[in-house]
Amino acid sequence: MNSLLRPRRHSGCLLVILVSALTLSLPAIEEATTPVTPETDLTVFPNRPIRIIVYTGPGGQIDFTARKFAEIARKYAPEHPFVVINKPGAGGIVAFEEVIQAPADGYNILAVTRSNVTKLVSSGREDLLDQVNWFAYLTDNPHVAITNVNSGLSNWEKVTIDSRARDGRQIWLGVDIGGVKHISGIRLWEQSNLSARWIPYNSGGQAVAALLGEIGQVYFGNPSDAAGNPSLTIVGSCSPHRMKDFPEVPTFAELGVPDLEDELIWRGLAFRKGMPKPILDWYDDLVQKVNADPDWREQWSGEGINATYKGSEEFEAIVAQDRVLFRQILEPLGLLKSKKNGQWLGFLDPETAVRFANGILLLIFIIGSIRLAKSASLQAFGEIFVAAAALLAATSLLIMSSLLPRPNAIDTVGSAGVPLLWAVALLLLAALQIVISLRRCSGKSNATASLLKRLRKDHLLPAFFLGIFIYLALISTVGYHLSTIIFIPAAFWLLGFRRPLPTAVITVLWISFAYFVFQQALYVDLPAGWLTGAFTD
Amino acid sequence: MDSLFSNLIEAFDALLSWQAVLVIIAGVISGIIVGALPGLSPSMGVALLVPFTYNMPPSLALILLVAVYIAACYGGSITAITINTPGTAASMVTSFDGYPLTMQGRPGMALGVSIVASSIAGIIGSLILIFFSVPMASIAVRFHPAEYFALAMFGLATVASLAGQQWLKAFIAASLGLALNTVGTDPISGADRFTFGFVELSDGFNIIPALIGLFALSEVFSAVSNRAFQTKAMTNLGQEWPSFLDYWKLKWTIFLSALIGTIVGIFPGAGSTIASFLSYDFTKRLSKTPEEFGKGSLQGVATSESANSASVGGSLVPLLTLGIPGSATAAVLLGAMMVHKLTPGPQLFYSKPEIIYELFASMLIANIVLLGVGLLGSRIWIRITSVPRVPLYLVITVMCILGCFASRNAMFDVYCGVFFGIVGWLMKRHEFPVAPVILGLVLGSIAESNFRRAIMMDGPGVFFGRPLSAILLLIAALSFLIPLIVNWRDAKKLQNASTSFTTDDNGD
Repeated sequence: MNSLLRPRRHSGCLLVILVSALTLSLPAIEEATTPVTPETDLTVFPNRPIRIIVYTGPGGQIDFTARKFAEIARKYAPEHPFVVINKPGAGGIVAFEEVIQAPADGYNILAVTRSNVTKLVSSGREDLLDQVNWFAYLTDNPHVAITNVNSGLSNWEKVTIDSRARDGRQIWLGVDIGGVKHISGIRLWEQSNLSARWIPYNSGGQAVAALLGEIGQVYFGNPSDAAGNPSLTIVGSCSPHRMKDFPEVPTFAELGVPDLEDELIWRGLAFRKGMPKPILDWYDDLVQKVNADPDWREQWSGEGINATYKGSEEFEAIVAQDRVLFRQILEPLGLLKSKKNGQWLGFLDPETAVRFANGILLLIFIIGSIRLAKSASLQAFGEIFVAAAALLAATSLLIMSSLLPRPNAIDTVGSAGVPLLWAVALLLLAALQIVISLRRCSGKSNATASLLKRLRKDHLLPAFFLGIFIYLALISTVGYHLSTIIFIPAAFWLLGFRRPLPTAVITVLWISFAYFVFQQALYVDLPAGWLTGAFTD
Repeated sequence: MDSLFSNLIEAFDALLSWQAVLVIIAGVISGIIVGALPGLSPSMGVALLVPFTYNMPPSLALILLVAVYIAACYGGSITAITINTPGTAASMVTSFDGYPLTMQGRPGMALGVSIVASSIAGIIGSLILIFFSVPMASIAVRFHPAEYFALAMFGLATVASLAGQQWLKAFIAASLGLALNTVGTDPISGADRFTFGFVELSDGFNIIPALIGLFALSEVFSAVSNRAFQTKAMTNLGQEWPSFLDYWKLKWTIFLSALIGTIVGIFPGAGSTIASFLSYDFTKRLSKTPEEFGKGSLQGVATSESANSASVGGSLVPLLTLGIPGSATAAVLLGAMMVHKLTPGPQLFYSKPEIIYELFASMLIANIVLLGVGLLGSRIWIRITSVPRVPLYLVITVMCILGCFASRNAMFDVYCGVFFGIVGWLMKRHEFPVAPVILGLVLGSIAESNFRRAIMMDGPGVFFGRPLSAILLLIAALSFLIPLIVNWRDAKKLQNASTSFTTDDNGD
């Protein structure tokens, strides 16, 4: 073991490692840095895999639709695969930003749903909606009201009678407040003079489970949610006409509830704006072929999903109309993110005030830490430092909670209730720990001096931290593969492992593993680096 | 019941083809790799294999995916035991005792117990699924949000017994996890909370980077800080494997933990992490040697692995009987079934019984194959522990960074991972346990969303108005208070021997 750690001087060892690693990992770098010039786009498109970005994690209808599209599209464009990449986050904002920041070269498709429109409208990010070309509307399904037959609510009429009997306490189970299904639910209540409570669950599956357990009376979702379970029945659909797969289900129009024909969820594809026309034409042709493919159409039969292809012009108009509608509905509900929260103390808006308070807290924490470090042992200082950091986090949460929406008649706990509870618990516990530690602190030691003494003696850990930070910066700059080729030998050298051959072998093996297993087999979208992007644009 | 047995026998008959066995072996090996790699969750592993099943018959496709799911749940324990880097959140509990065993030079004991406990508990979970799925599913769906909240509180109460004398630090860690969990979109109102303008924080802290950072990176930082680069000596690897007697002693632990794992797995959204924590706590309370827990107890390894493997069978209960995915992986399986035009739910038992029973049979076979592959593989995994430390720590570092990235294809998660690594290193250095932070992160959202849902539905009185919720909350309160009282009594006894921080920093 000692021989491993013994420093050895080999002139040019780093060069050997770099050259061997670079040579063996050339395919990875080449792929990451393939130049994308307009000429190559137009002549041989596609010349590398096409990424379909999905805004949710694996599972769920849009992920499934994207994977099915990828599978069928491969039939018609077999040279290069379509790869589904999950980029979940913020209801689609992360995925939208990913596609918008990538070149408009046709290699990044965004799988979109109507939920993206509500999310971007409610979160004040409508700018993202303007930056994409809503290219192809692929499938849709109407929203439906589902009940549990065992609860006795086997048709819409019984639902309305029950609603009146419960006097506003009928429970509708669904997902996201302010989401597309919630909006459709609100429109249904308005049109049918119903009064109910929307209880959001984390997923449709959990909400259906609650319906089966008779925790609520109605579940509002997709027709496929009721398939395969005889205890569940669809009591009404927002479809303009009876669904082919569920012919026994009446439409709400038939039930005397008008104007709900547009209450549906659609799924489609979008690109970053500014894509060259030949590539758009290539996609137009591909989407038409996929749409006409018997496997594609067969996939959606039986689930109440319509394979309804609509071209870009019609799709853009639908999105524009949805934006207006969602704004109209979300605003009175207080679900539109407001830019201004009013003034505070006459001159400060609350957000600035909270930022200011956080800044002061941080300052107190830093000054307090410096002062304490002069009078406590290193161990006691460390313990108090960790507890004080927790105290700082708790206090900051308490202050920031003041900006959250207040409780209302339905959500009596409100957004701030539970964070306040945890923050108070953390604050009290951390304060207790500080008091206990301070009581055990002798006051005769000096942590600063001890720390500086240790740092002078041994600076391996700070150097290792620095190495990691440089590595992370390099990943974002020159891409994963190149930065890792630099980092591994450098870190080996730093940690005292200075044997060129094992270092080169490990570097090459790791790069090959990352490339073949993560990038090629598991479709992990390793960063190519902005500098690489800047060169290739 | 007769038809159940005859259907099962037919299914076994159908599965005894080279194709099916090959598919199960391939699924098990892929699953172990996916589970062992930090950053790749069982749900990602299953989703990635779905495209390979397009051209397979539906039954074979499902068998492959379920084999991946089963093996991925075990795979997480390999890295948890050998390098203290849990591949999955549930295997974090395995590291509590598995890694101390490795540090004592006995990784074979932990690896042996983990694979045997996983397979046997997997079989128990599958048998429960086969024989009792329908009644259990109908009970599980009747759980009111108040009861889910009580279950989450029950899970949180385990911190009290896990913490021992360091209860205050453990509570701070758990509260920190709970507070961090409130970052992101409010699960009920949809309002943005504490995101500091980072879009990536809208969905809160991703659990995988938190896990990787708090457990794995912090370990690397500690080793670099202490220059702990000496490989642990293992005198005789061959003698370090558990004997039949060792396994036999664990029979009740495995059985009871498998029961807990299956039952918790049935509840949609509860998950294998809670199952592992609850069964660890339960086993520790029943154990004759609770003081060994956290220091290298074989019971600790067995209970955690049993519970998380058995939860697979549990999570398939609502999927197959009601068409409800109980976990993220079950949601991907639901998608895969849709690809093959299978709609899970009670009707599937009538329309395509052969698929259901082949799936049941394949789960039993997959667990047996897992046992074989795992026992053979353990002889390979154990070599990780004899790899020179510097290359090992460096490979762990790059693997952690890649794993954080792979979890959502985002650099932000890598930054979070490193941040949690530093936090974890600081916490461990000052004897703050890190596992309660993860527990708080996992249970926080279940507790909050169900707490608020319950109040929105039936008002604040609902928690004590429903008998089951009241009983669960009472048990949670007791399991929270009893260890505290015991600790307080012990602390009083030790009061005279208590130390103060008057020592100099040389020993730091």
